[in-house]
Amino acid sequence: MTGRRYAILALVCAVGFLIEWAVAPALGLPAGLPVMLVVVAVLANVLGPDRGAVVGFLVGLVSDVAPGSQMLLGVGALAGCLLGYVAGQVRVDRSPLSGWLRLCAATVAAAGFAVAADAVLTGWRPDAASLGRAALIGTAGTGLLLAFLLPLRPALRRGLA
Amino acid sequence: MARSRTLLIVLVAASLALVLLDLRSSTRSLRSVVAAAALPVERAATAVFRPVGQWAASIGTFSDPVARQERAAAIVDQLRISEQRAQDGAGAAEAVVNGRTTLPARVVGVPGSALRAWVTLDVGAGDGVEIGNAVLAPLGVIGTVREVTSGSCAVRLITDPGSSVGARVARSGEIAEATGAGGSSALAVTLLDPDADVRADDLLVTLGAPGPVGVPAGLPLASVTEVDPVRAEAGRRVAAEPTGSTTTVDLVAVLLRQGQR
Repeated sequence: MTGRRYAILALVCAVGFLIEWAVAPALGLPAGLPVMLVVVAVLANVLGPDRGAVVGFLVGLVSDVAPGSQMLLGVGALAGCLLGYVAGQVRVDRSPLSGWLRLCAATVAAAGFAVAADAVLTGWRPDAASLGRAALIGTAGTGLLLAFLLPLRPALRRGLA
Repeated sequence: MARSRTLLIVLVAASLALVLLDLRSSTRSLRSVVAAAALPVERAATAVFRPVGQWAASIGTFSDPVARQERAAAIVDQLRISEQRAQDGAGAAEAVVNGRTTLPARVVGVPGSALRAWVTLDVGAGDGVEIGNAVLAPLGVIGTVREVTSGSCAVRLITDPGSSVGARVARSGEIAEATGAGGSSALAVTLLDPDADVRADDLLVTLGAPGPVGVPAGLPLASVTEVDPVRAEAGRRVAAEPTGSTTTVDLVAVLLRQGQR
């Protein structure tokens, strides 16, 4: 990739990160919207599994040390690289609905994996009601965000090709 | 395909190495550097987007007279703090609680996870904030400072699943432990005595921590909402709602070290 393509990639990640970490909380949107994981899923789907895994790893690493994050360093990176690898192999062009569903499932699974790994490793236990609410917000948010971002794939593909 | 899998294995191994590193030696210094660098952006985003969020939230309560009244009362409380802060100069101590001066602060960062309950405040070590300082909302204690940088601090709210606060039933003096359950869920409170005298609407106050920095005793913490009729050997369990709002928190006060300022 050329410098211009790296710059586009960094810009997309930076905008996604700003929305998740600064804009959404300030607007009072529910916590737990996995904006960055959705961005990783869409970028990985454009870039393929190899580059998707690397982008997911780096984005997860930044999320781990972001202000307000209580997650262990490396947990988000692990979830991100696995998501990037899986999302890079999903074929959205052949069947958009099936592709959307698979990306949704992969993103929600990555978010759930990160929470579960962090809870087990650091010893905190959420109650069932909080878990249910977080799962609902995460799944609905992922579905909506992917529905908005997946149509941008052709433009991203042109920019990152 | 083999190359692709090798790359994934390398990334997974690197992630696991980072997890082990964080478990064995704290990465607090790295996080402090990031927090300090990000504070201006958090402040800017809060200043620009929070009014929009507050306006949107007010639409939902516009036609509900009770909700409007509650909202108005909360705003009046907030305005009092803001007004005092303006008179004293930003960052100046404004009042005394249990012999300790309070430092007004604004929430500039909220948790990214719906399951954790941490917030970032726009005051830090440069303002006299220390790890262990109690943080108050208008109606009670909402958390304690757990991480401090020069210009900001991270507060673990009492509703966080990792939070455990010593408490006392104000009416009967029974000792209890209040544990967070995440998000906006009620606190899970265990009273040491299985036959403890406790009722719905009883006020729980802080038990207090020794030393000049920690949470003082006797501050409002939560109100009992439900009492488990089963008297277990391990202690009596009740559910309680925090008296200070932990989900709409905006302006707060940090209780500084005794004798500071």
